[in-house]
Formats: sequence, C-alpha cells, structure tokens
Amino acid sequence: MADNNKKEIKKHYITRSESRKIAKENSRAIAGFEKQKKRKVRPEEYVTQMKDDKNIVEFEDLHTYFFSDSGTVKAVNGVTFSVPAGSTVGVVGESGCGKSVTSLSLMQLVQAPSGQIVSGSIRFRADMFKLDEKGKKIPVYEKYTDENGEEKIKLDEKGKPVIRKNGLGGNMYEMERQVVDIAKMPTEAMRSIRGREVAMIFQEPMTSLNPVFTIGNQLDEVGRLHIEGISKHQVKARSIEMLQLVGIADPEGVYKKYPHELSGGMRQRVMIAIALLCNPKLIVADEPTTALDVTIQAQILDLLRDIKGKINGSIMLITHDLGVVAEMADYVVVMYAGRVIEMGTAEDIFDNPLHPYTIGLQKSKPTVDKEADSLYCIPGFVPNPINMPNYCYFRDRCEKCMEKCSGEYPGLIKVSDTHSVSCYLYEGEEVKNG
Amino acid sequence: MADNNIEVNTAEPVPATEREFLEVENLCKYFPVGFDFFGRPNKFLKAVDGVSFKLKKGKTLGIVGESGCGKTTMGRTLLRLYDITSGDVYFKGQNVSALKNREFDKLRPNMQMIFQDPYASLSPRLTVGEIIGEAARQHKIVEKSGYQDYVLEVMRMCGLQPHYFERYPHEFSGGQRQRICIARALALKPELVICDEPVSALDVSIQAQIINMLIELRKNLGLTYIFISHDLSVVKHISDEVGVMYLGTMVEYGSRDSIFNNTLHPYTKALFSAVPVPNPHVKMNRIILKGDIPSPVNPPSGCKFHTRCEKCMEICGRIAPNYKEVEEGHFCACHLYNTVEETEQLELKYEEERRLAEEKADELAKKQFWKKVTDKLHGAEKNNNVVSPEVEEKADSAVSEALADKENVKDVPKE
Repeated sequence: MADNNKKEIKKHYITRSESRKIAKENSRAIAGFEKQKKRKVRPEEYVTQMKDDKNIVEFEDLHTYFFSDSGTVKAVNGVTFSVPAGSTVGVVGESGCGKSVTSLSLMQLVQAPSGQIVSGSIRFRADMFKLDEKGKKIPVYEKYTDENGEEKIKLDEKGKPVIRKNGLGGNMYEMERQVVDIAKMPTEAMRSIRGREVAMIFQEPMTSLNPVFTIGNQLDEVGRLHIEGISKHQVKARSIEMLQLVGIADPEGVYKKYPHELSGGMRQRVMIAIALLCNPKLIVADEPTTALDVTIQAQILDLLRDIKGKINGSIMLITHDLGVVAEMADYVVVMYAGRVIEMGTAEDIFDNPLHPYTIGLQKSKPTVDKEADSLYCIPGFVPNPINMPNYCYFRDRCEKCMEKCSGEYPGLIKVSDTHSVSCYLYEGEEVKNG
Repeated sequence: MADNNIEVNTAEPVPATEREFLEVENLCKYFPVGFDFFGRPNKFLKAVDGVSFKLKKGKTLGIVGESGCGKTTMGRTLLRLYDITSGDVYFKGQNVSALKNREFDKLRPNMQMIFQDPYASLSPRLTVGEIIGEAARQHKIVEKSGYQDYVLEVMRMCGLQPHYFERYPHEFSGGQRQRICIARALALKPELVICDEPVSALDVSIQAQIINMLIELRKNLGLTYIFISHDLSVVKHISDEVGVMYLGTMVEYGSRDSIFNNTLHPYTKALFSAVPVPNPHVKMNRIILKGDIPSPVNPPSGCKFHTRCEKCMEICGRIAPNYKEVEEGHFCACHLYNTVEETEQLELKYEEERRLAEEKADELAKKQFWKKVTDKLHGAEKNNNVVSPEVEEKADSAVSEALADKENVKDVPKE
C-alpha cells in the first residue's frame, strides 16, 4: 500500500521546479494579454457583423483560460452558441463546467489578471452612442418651429441648448445599432454597454449586495451611472418603480432598508430590480434561484418570465437544475468540462437527448412523478480541469465508448436544423444545411 | 416557561417493550432571543414546536420543508446536540431526553448524523483515516490491533479507495467528502442515522451516486434513516414515510404514497406544485405562495400557515388546528379536515380560553387598581409597580374624587 501511496502522491503534486516553470509561463502570458488590453483600440477593430440577424448574442469558439499556479485551467474551451432575440436560452451543466465563466466573459467580468479571454469572439448587437470626431457623444436637442417656419433649437434661460429627454428621464443622444465583439472591446467602451444593454443577475444575493449601503443607494447607483443627465428625484422614482415591478409589496420601505433586513427571496428580487433598471436587451441570470426554496423559486421564475414579456428582452439562464431549464428555456445548451456537448430546442433536448452525458444527467435525477428502485448514476467524476486530455472529455465515464473516442475531440454534428451534438455516435446522421 | 403550549401527559407510561424503535412526543426546542433586565430570557424563537412521530426499525422518514422551518434543528435535537426544551424522545424504548449526559454517551454510537455541508464538517487537520476512525476508537468499537483494518473496511464499504487513508479532506471533491462524512457516521455501527441534507451541496450526477449508496447501505446494514431535505424528488425516492414541516410544526405526516398521491394540507400541495419538472411539455398548475415564511420569533396566531394559505377561512386566524389522523397513518393539521363537531369543540375551547384570559386580566386590573388607590390614600410613594396608564388614570381620578368627597364632608360642618 505504501508504494501505491507514493505513486499517487507523485501524480497529485507538482514539484518545485515544475511550479516555478508554470509561474514563469503564466506571468509571460498574462503580461501579453494585459499589454494588449492597454493599447488604444479604434472602434473599427471591434465592430463586426452578425452571422444571423435574428440573434442578439453569438459566441464563437470562445476560449477563456485561468492561469493558475498549478497549470492553465481551460474553463471555457471553444464554446459556440447563440441567443436569438426575444427568447430564453438555458445553459446547463455541472459545477465547474464553465457555464458561469461563459457568462462572465460576456460581461467582461472574468477575474483578471489570472483569467483571460484568450481567443474567440462574442458578438453582441447593441445600441451604441454615435461619436463625433473628438470621440464625444452627440446629443439630440429639443427643437421647435418659429413663426417663419424654421426649425430652431430650444434654449433655456441661460442660453444653453436644451437636450431632449429619453424614456428613462435621461439625456437623449444619437444612437446607432452596431454589432460589437465584446472579446476585443476595450474596457471603457464596455462600460457603456454593461448594465445598460446587457445586465446580470448574480448567483448569491447575499454576497452580491453590499452590506453597508441601503438597497436604495445601490439601485440609485446604477441609474446615476448609466442614465446620463437624470435628476436625483427621477433616479429615486425609477428605483422605486423597479422595486414595485419585481413584486415587492412595500417599495418605499425596502428602498431605505439594508440587505440584511431582507429575506433571501426579497434580496434576489432586489438583484433583479438592479439588473432591470436600465431596460437591458439581454439579461444574464446566473443561477438566480439556486440559493432559494422551491416556493420562492417558483415566485422568482414566474417574475422573470413576466418581466421578459414586459421589457421584450432575451434571457440567458444559467443553472444546473434541469427542471428550471425545462420550464423556462426555449433553447438549451448543455456544457461539460468547458465545451458545449449538445444544444437544441428544449423539446429536442428533453424528448430526444442524444449525448450519453445528457441522457445520463436526465436519468440520474429522481423525479416526483416517476418511481424507480435505484437511480442511474454516471460512473466516475468530472475530469481534472488542468491538463485536459485530447480525446473526448466524457470518454472515461461513457457507457457507449467506442474505439474512435480515443481519437480527436469530436466536433459539433448537426442532427437536425435546431439540434446538434458533439459525439461520434451520430457521425453518419448529419443533416446538410438546406 | 411555556407551560400553556405543552399539555401535561397524564396517561400512564407505556412499557418499554411496547414502544416503537423511535418515538418522538411533543418535541420542543426554543432558543432564547430576548432577555429582560436581569438576563432572564423572555422572548423565544420556537424552532421546533411540538413535533410527534413514530418510526419503525429499518424504515426511512423523510422530512421536507422550506429553509428556516426547523428541520435541521429537529434532527439535532433528537441527538441531543441541542438541549431538549420539552417533550420526550424514546429510542428503543429508552427515554433519551431523561438520561444524564454520561449515560447518554453510551447510547451515542447508536445514533449518528451526516451533516449538511461536506466542506465545513470535516476537520482540515486530520487525515481521512483519523476522521473516520477517531470516534470508533473513542467508543472502543474496535480492538487497537484491528483498528486500521476496520477503518479500511468501512472506507471500502463507502466507496473510498484504501490509499485515501493518509490524505487530507482538502484533496477531495464534494462527492468524495460526502462519502467520508458517511463513513465517519457508519464507523460507529449505528442503528439510526440522521442525514441532514446529504446531497444538496452536490451535483446531479454525484447526487445519484450518493443516494444509491445510502439505499445500498440501508439494505445491507439494516439502518434506519431520518432523511432531512428540501428536495422533494429525492425525499420521494428514498423515504417510506414523509413528514412536512412548516414553522416548527409538523403539518402533515404519512406514508410516502399517501402523502404524494393524496395530499391533504394546502401547504404541502403548494410545495409539491412548486417543484419544477424536467419536461417542457408539462404545464404545471402552480399554486404560488405569496410572500415569505414568517419569522418564528413572532409566528402568526391560530394556524401558522393562514397568512399564505389559499383556502384560509375565518377560523384559521384565531384557532390553531389540531394535529389529527385524517386517514389511517396519515396525519394532518388543518381546519379543512375537521368535522362539524370538532370545529364546535375547538370553538368552545377557544371561547373558554378567551373567557379565562379575560377574567384573569380583569382580576389583575382590579387588584392593581385597589392597590394603587390604597397606596395613594396612604400617601405611600415607595411602591413603584409598573401599572398600565389606564389603571393609573382610573386610580388617580378615584383618589381625587374620594379626596374631594372628604373635603366636602369636612367643609359642611364648618359652614
């Protein structure tokens, strides 16, 4: 047994020289990425075109790595999927499969410097501000026609031109619809999108709200930052309106409270209110109900569905609960160890799952309306994220493993118009794009 | 201190042999949250408030409920990890709650617990072998010579490799840690194992592994489980009997089939309808509960669920429903299932109680009034009993009237 032990230990730990080597490589790689970020990027470099105009977001071959002290963790390793406008896309997978990192990459919130978007692109269709030659926003002025029938710009008492107000009470600027690549975007430009066009509901409402500021303060902050030219009392009115929208009974009271005075469900509602404050086009909900009870979960899911209709936006829902996905999502993306292994409409995935992992996942979940003597379980564990093998990551846990599985990682195979799977089992069943 | 809530058991004690494997009668656990000037508790959080059930050997009882409903506290109180406030726990006919600590220590190996969070419940400074074997050695379950073999045997039983013996908990994933926790509990050869949310911290694929292992161990070792979880599907899979808790009380209890197929209590119905089903074609008829679970420090009067109940009636806000057997072996605490006579009885009892309370209050007010009046008349200022302002006013006016009368009486002869 002692020999066995030593062997195991050798496998498990890295030597000092190895560790030093890794650290050196990491610092070099990180310095390269950081340098690239600091360089001035012209808008032409990140403005691109969508592949399909119906989509609001397209991920293409996204790679996000974490350069850790024990090796490079390929948290997101070639993810390709898209979110059609006006729909809900559910991203499912076990913990550590990279679903949260995918969403953080979309928000440009990956923990730098160790976490970096290495390659790939995230195309997002956004209403960007039109800029003049000096790089300033162009305001839209209030106009009127005088007696001679000429259009003139309205002036206030001090002789300054009056800027027209938009629906939220802020200044109106000239906008243009652009497709931007978030992976290549500089941080300053990202700030004008983040929160305004795409907003995120974070996982744990207790840790994501600041305990030393009131709820109202934290809501107002979003309004002040993203709605330019809005007055103080308008911000407050907007915050209270949002709190009312998410179904909080006493919005004025909650506005003055601190996060610790609220229950888990209320805190999650506040998080949703913060995310919705600027009417974003896309809401990224990262496990919005994991920390909540089933009864509260039902309330929150109902609310999300309701609000999606009201603001006419899209939702990217990240969760590990298949039940939640089945209920909410139009499209489902199944991830495993940093890769998409299967995607399709909800009906495709739940009625006709193809990948052995998806099948196993559905069989291993006990349900209230079915009875079974023993649950099916997928043998083994999720592989170590450092030094991933070159073959299919699921090979060692798969029941239907073939000889071919030891070869290269299988690409996504389109089985039907909406359904694709990454497994050699379905190689012959490919459907050509018609 | 809370005598009005606990009925005195006047029935003759049941002989030990006739008791079930585990019997819990009116178990209460109150946590003091408010203190008066002298440091005496005067405000309580009623985490568990009168829970009773019986469990046969080899069966599994599933406890479900929202967070904060007292599931975990109940489990811990059963093992006397918290002191029992009142009520009795009979384990194999022995009244556990009456035993002294040293006597109870001998019983502890028979009752074990698997804790909620596998990340927090393992000591980071002990090796896996030590974690599993420590208690077995302490309770002299194995000989010193056979210690390592015994621990390795337990580890093998729980699906842990022998070379994990000298490793530390941080080297393991959540599923493996949970296996270590289970091995630690089973190393003492227990008969009753309380599983406190053993799978809620784990991923779906690992969850299935652990649940299968628990079922396997139950079969092989003849264990009795109390399985605490908020995941209804898991509870349905593993349990023979199910108890549904709300705000510290058991609202429904029965065999698994009767609970899931013939749900009685409105809360249980709402709970079951809220579980998302992994099938996009099923459109659920949701009963969405409004608001959050009320604070157990200040629970609603009458039926604790009436603030969120769909089928709330007038009686629910005033009178607490009694916990009664609606069908054979299926208990429920709800006014919906009362017969007319039972409702009448409850009403009578309520009226009686209210009358008594009013009388008591009247008497108290009278006493205070006369005391105050006599005090004022005798000019005694040292009495600093706190009296309600109404009584104070009344007493003042009575005293002034009396004094005025006296003066009048005095004045008359002068003139």
